[in-house]
Amino acid sequence: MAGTYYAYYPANSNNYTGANRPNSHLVDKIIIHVAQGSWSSAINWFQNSYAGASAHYTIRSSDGFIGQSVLERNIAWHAGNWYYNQTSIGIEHEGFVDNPAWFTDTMYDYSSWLTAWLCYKYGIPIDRYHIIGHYEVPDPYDRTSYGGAGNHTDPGLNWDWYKYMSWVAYYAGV
Amino acid sequence: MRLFGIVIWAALLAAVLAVGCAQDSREEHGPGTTESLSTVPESQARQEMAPKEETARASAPGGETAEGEAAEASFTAAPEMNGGSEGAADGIREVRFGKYEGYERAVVEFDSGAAPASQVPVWSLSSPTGEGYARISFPGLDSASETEGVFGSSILDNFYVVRAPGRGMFVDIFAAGAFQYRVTELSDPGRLVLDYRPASVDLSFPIPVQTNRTVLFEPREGEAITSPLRVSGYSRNFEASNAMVLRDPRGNVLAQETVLSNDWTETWGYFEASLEFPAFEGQATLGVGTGSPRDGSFEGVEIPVTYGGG
Repeated sequence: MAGTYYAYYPANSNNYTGANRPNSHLVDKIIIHVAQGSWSSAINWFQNSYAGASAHYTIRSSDGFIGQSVLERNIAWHAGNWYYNQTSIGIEHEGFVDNPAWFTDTMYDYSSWLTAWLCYKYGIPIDRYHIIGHYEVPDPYDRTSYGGAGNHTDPGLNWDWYKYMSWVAYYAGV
Repeated sequence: MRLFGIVIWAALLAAVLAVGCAQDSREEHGPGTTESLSTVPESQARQEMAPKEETARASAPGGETAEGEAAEASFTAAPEMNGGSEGAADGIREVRFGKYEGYERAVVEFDSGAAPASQVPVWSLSSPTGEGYARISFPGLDSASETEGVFGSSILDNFYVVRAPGRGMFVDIFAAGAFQYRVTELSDPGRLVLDYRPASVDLSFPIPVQTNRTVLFEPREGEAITSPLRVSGYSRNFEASNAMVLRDPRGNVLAQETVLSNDWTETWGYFEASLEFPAFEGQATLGVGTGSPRDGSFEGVEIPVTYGGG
């Protein structure tokens, strides 16, 4: 990776819950999302008081630029499951689940670097039990369903989990 | 008899003066705001109050246009209308609201690049009789600086800017009841002016149910439905996800589906689905929305429906 670059675009405070993690809540998982939209529009929408949603980070497809919307100590609203929100960090990725062209190597690169750093920082094991897709979050209102309460399917079948986990392991030095 | 004539003339004079005063006190409102006319640049305000002084094209039913006939354009209940110039704009810049004597006005302005468009882009208007809304489609537009707003007046209620299925955008303008309308195109900058006045008929259908992030367009509240049921609307739900569930009177799930809308971050995204369900008795409930990204609780609209046979 050529070098990390990043900026903070704070989400509207209506769209997340203030906390003091990891002291207030254990952080033990990373949840991978696909935004179904552009990087800038997702960042902008999280700043709108009517959004009712947020993610900690959003990764840009073209160059891997990392936009942070919610500080890690706070609880972003992304999982559709309160327990999973409390105990996770949510990473959005620019693009659409049905179009793999958005999932560039550059985006995988910066996202996997970020996830490796977060795993190191919070002591999160680097495996698919702790680095999960939105589609693997239990539906809190239906034990037979996943993807949170909205039964989301992201990051979808076009997301290359093998590549992603390999690169996370690489950056973590595992 | 002569005295009666004098009284009539005095009454007419008073009425004329009253209309003049009312026109002088007209106000322009932004969506959800009360904005004094004095805050609008004078030239712009004059243009919108007196379209006959503009290079205006007033659209007649059937898409006919007549140069310089803006002042003669009459209110209509025509279900279809169209106009505009190809490639004149690429985005919606602003939707404004004005209140006038006997009618209310919505004004749509456009972007061409970063600048105001000088002409009105290609548009078509659909206003099914007695449904309380007008949908203005702009097939050449791709962006919107303004995505929704509340007029909150006696005739005009609110509007949404929606990414259309296929391509383009559309603007749905909801009224508080049945209405007649007229459309005028203004140039430099390009503006589509829609005037509404109430019509003395009842709505044929309830106005679509709306919440913060979901508008359910079809079916309507209380509708008798048949299988397969077409469900459509628009939303700004997280990650464009829209779940729909039809439950019988005992709460049993008759049909459910989750579909993606075509937008949610830039503007309202359109969605549609088809639900197949068995016959049921009594009043069922159709819920359309999504699980809250926060805690999973349902966020959306719920309407009662009955079985329409078939």
